Amino acid sequence: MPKRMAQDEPLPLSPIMLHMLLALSDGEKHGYAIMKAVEDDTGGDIAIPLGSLYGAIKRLIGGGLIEESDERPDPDLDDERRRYYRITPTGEQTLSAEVQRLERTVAIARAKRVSGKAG
Amino acid sequence: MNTRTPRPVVMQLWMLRVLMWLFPTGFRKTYRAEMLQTYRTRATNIYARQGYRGLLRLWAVTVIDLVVTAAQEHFEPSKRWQRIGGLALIGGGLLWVVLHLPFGVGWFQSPPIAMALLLIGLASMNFERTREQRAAPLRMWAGFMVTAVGLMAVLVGYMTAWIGGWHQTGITTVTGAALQSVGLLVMGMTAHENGKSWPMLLITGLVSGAEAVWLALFLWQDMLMASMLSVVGLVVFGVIGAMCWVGLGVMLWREGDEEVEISMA
Repeated sequence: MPKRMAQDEPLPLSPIMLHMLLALSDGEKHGYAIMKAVEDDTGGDIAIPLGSLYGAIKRLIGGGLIEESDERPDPDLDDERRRYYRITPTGEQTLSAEVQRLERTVAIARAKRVSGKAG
Repeated sequence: MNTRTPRPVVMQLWMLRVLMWLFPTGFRKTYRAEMLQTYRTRATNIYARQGYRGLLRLWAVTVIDLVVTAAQEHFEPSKRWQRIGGLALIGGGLLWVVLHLPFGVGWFQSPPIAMALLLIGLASMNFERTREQRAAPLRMWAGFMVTAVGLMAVLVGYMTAWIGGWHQTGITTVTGAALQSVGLLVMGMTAHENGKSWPMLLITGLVSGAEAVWLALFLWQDMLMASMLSVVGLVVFGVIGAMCWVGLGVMLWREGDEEVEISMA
């Protein structure tokens, strides 16, 4: 049975949600910055399209994993229509649990001598 | 920041504003301005680096994704929709039996308003998708298609049987009953996919199917109308059928209570 966190957000997280939480783990970001961070972190493997990005933001907020931030890094440097998001303590817990789950999966794969390289 | 937006991006933003109407009102109001802003930044950057080709690729991906995510947002499970679906099924079931018995008009001549309510309830129950299912779009859309086919079968079956009952045409009534039953069983299977009340839906389909067999047997004996007006026909297929609908509604309502709200209020 998958472990369930607060707000009943089930593990495993979808790859998009996992990478979005990772993107927010080092500081609050607006939508485009999240999109860009995920793309950079995954070397372009995950490029979140517009609708999926905001659908995921809505679900992460609904699940209590992220929240809207009132603070702005520098209002002069940024468009005031942008909203910033930050990870919540529940989001950090969930992210940590997901990372542990992935570590266990990798450990199992290594124990079975499954290589990360195809072929 | 006042960077100049290239003309092709401006045109895409204009079309994007139109596409935004695909989304539910709440979602649109909350995210519209921000989505446009995000697209503007992304498209401007891509246009600067990759030109028209990159911009067109981004546009194609964005349009497909917007259509899919807008549909997902409309079918997002929520307490509100589950409760409305539950109430529709309860109301439809009660109307079915209340208007059915005193007039003795037979199962297939139940009022269209009852059927409309039942269809709303069935749609609410079957179009709901779990997060795991939404993560597998192909499977999710296959489920939607099967559900739509099931709903159509129930609706067409009801109308066929209604017409058959009205004109006292036995074979039409039986065909309608059978089609309605098949539709309910198909929907029972898709409801099984999302783990919602499917045994009750299958029972409802089986009751409807049993009625089709019952009618067919009497048709074979050339006694169709007698079967529809018989006490057995009224009680078994009228009362038990309606109880199934009400039961489904209560279960759906209760599941709506249990469901964790994951969408923004």
